[in-house]
Amino acid sequence: MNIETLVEKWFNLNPKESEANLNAKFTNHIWDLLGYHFNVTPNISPGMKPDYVLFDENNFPLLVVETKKRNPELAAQEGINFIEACEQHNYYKQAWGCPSLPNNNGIFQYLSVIDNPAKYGLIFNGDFWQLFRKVDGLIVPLTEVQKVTAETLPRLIKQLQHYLQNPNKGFIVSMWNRKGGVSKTTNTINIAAVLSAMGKKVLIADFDPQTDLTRSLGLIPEKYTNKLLNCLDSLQKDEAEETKIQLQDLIQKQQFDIGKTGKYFIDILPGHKETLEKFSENEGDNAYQMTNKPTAIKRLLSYIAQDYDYIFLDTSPKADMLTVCSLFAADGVIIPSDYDPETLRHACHINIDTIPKIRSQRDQKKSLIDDNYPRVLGLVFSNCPDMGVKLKKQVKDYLAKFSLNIYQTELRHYQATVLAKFHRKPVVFHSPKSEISKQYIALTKEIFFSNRLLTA
Amino acid sequence: MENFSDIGKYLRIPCKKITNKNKSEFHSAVVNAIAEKLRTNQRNFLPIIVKEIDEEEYEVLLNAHILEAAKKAKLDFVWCIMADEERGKQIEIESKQRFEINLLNASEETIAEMFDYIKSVHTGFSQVNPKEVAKEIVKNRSNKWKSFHPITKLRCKIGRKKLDILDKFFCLQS
Repeated sequence: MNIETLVEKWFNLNPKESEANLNAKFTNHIWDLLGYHFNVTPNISPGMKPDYVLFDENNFPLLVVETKKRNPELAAQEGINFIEACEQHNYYKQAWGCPSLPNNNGIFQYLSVIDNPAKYGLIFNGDFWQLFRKVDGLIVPLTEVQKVTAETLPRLIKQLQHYLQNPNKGFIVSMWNRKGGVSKTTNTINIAAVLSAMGKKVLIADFDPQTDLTRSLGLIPEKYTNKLLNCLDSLQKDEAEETKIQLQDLIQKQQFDIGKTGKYFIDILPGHKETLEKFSENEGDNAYQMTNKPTAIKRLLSYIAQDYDYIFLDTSPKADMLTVCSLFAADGVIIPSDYDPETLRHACHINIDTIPKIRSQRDQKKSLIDDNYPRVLGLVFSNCPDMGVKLKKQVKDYLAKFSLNIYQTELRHYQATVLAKFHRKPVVFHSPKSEISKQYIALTKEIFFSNRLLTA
Repeated sequence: MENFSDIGKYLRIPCKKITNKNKSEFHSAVVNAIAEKLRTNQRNFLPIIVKEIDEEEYEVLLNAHILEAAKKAKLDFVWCIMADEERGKQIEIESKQRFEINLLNASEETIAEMFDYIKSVHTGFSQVNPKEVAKEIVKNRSNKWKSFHPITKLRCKIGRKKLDILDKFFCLQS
């Protein structure tokens, strides 16, 4: 079986092919081509039977697949009309598991099972396909719904191959707002700390020339002068091993103790002011002037992403090259905000303008595997006083105009947070029982551990 | 945050990502002399002009001798300016590698001048009389000319073998 034969098999399908025939004549052959043994209609949980489950070498579910029968009306649509037609069509809704449909089990339900959910989900009907990824609670569409054509089929196969072979890539998160003073760094550190306390492998990268993050976790930025350049040089020369070695040399493992028994580790990619400023310059003749700079951090992190569950990127509020690089690298963006209308305006602008722009730029880079990143995960109110009923209503009315996910957990301003900084520790480690620590734990659970399908 | 293009930028690129399609041989004395300087300074100042031919793959448009020298000096990176197809053409003209005198509407004087220049750089044209060939071309030229082939019929001592050279100096745009 090769890709040409597979495309030919697709051409020979009946436009109204039933689901059973579609799978016998076509879908089974996809797994042959990919070299995976598959299990038809296994139970992954009582009452839940996807059409296929593919397993990894340890026999854990890797990919769940939901197929539907073909539909000539959908096949007749093109471009944006195709996407809209799919979104309104019951086959598509059933396939992903739209909760408003009665007794429905689709990809959303399969990926939400408590024990060993698969890492990926695929929906397919011979006319449309879409890939999803499961990251703890988050269900992230890796692509928009795609139309099946002779051109997109090889891309589907390429993507499946890529993802099935690299199933453990860490989820990269950027905490960004164009407004300063909204606790970007503090939030990044503490959410990362909560995740590490939950047993996740976490890396935090400091890409803000102010290097507050590096210092507040007890590292000395000057020790890492120009070390980023060694990484970037090896990256540009395509020296995979050397790139990894240089990165590992730069990344510092910090140990944080809680009480007498608790020991937690967070990996930190430290920043150094002049190094990051030079990287951020978009012209001139310093050694950081490289080709395809916006994707540099993404390409760099790809060498170590499989070593982590989560990677957090901290950047300055400026939309400088480091921020652009971080957004290019990010899978998800969390927008911290206060109640100020200007901050909210920035937040909404990021959601409807900046992020979609980055997404479309990423599309044009053919070496990057197609994906639909970054996606805005949501807005979190942080560093906030109690806002009172009147202001609360005002803010709520303002945000109602934008389809932006607002996290229920709000982070208040506490002395404990500042005190912890003097001790060069995340507050969740320094004062684990404090109110703010409870808020960070609640927020982290809300962001990453409640089952939620991200929509565009 | 809009423009992420590398075109027109002064960039540091790994030598091994740049190919030199026209393997024009540079005299080793030239390459060695430049390499010696690059070894001392560890970088070039006069940029190599390159264009992207595939993702992360580049081709030299101008100053290939610096690339050769940099490789000789064992530099991993060279400083380049990124061009594209359109800029590449103009760079060829600006660097005297190509001219685009339109034979179908240029003045007799311009054509004669260019042949005079060709004579000075190509020995094969020593028998050609620039004024005479320009006069014949202007007299006979027509929008039906799709190649330089008709010039061989003008009895001006320009045969088929010389037409490739003309390609660098003239064009036909009706």
